[in-house]
Amino acid sequence: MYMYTNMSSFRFRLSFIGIFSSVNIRNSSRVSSRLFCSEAKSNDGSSPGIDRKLILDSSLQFVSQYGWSVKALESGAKAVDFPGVAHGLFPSGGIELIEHFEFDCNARLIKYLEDMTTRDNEPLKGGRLVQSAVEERLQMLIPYIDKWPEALSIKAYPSNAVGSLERASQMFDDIWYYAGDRSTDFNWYTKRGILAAVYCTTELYMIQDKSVNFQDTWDFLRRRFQDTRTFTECRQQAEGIVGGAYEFGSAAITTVMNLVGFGSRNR
Amino acid sequence: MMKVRRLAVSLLRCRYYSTPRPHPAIDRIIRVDHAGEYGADRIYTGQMAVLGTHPSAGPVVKHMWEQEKAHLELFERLVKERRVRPTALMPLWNIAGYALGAGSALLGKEAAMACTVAVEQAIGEHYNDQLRELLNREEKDEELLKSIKDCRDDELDHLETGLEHDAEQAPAYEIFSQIIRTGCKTAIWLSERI
Repeated sequence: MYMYTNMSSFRFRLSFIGIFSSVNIRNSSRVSSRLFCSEAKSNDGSSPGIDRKLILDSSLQFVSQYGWSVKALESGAKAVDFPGVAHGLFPSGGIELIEHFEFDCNARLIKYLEDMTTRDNEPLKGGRLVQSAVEERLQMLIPYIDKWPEALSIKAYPSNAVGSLERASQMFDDIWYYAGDRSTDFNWYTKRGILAAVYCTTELYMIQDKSVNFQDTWDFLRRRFQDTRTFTECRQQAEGIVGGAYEFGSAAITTVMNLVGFGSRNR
Repeated sequence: MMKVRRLAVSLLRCRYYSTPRPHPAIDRIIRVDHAGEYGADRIYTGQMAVLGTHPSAGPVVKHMWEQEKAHLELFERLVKERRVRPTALMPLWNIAGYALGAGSALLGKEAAMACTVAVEQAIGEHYNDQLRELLNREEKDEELLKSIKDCRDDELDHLETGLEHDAEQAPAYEIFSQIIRTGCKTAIWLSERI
């Protein structure tokens, strides 16, 4: 069903592009042959028609100029010889460009995590891997840092928030997975939550950081990880106290049960 | 020889590090089963705290507890190996399971057995539903199918054991077991989703 609607809307857009691209007579035959080639390719169900990735990749270079907008998509499409109206392929506009960028960053991050954990010379693991992964991931934002506040606000629109959260949580999960976390209890959530807090605060710090090479940001990040360690130690101490209270409680129950003659050690 | 070893190590690493995320249906099945076995373990912990030294019920409960521990270990391994997200309600099942176990055991040996019967009945049905779902899938997940079948057989065994040990003599048996079964179904519904 999904495939069907996808294909029909795709055809609709093809005709739409066809009308407008006829204005651009020089390109029209080349464009339409490319479009139909890619339609034939899309039958395997993997890519929805035209090479969207090509247009999105090319649009990224216009982000610093036009922001995460339809205008950037339009310029990107033109730069790879598609008519500007090809931005109609991205009905949600700027968020699709952001999504593409984030998927790409997360894929690169997984590659980085794999390299760091399997390299022969001192493979990273645990907390050190988490810290270096966050730094690596934030560095990917540097080329677009001027327009990143705009991306953050687009990501927070109600219609986009769920997808954005999902992408972010998968990224945090990937980092912890490679760091060797195999929790099967609530720690699974605590760990990812702490990482999310550290990442997001550092991201906010980074967009207003004017220091050379974002040195202040990396210092800030290091301090946040330091705080996390202190927090974990505190929590362990607190757990010790709770554990003690539990022992005390069960001893009290046993005593009461023995007093009322219900326990096993009554006389 | 060294080369073979290095190859083996790198292959192992590949398997260990590049596990893709599971299919959503498999993710849900393993999450709820892990939560269920964890809850069962907590129920028996609670019962053992009260009935541990009971001459006739003690060994029976202990035997069932040992089996539940093995199930929990099995599903913990699956959660780790397959990158399944554990349910966020683990702390709740920790407390609720223990309270149910200890509470029912405090009402007496028969009530404890009635609790076991009600829980295992709900769990047995739930495992059967899952087996049906898994068998309807195109790619057969043999490991998971076998794990669930083994667990289900043990759970139904516990149900029989409970009935043999006078579960039906418990005070207000029908109401008691109906409440527990409804509770179990709610817990399953929640653990699949949260």
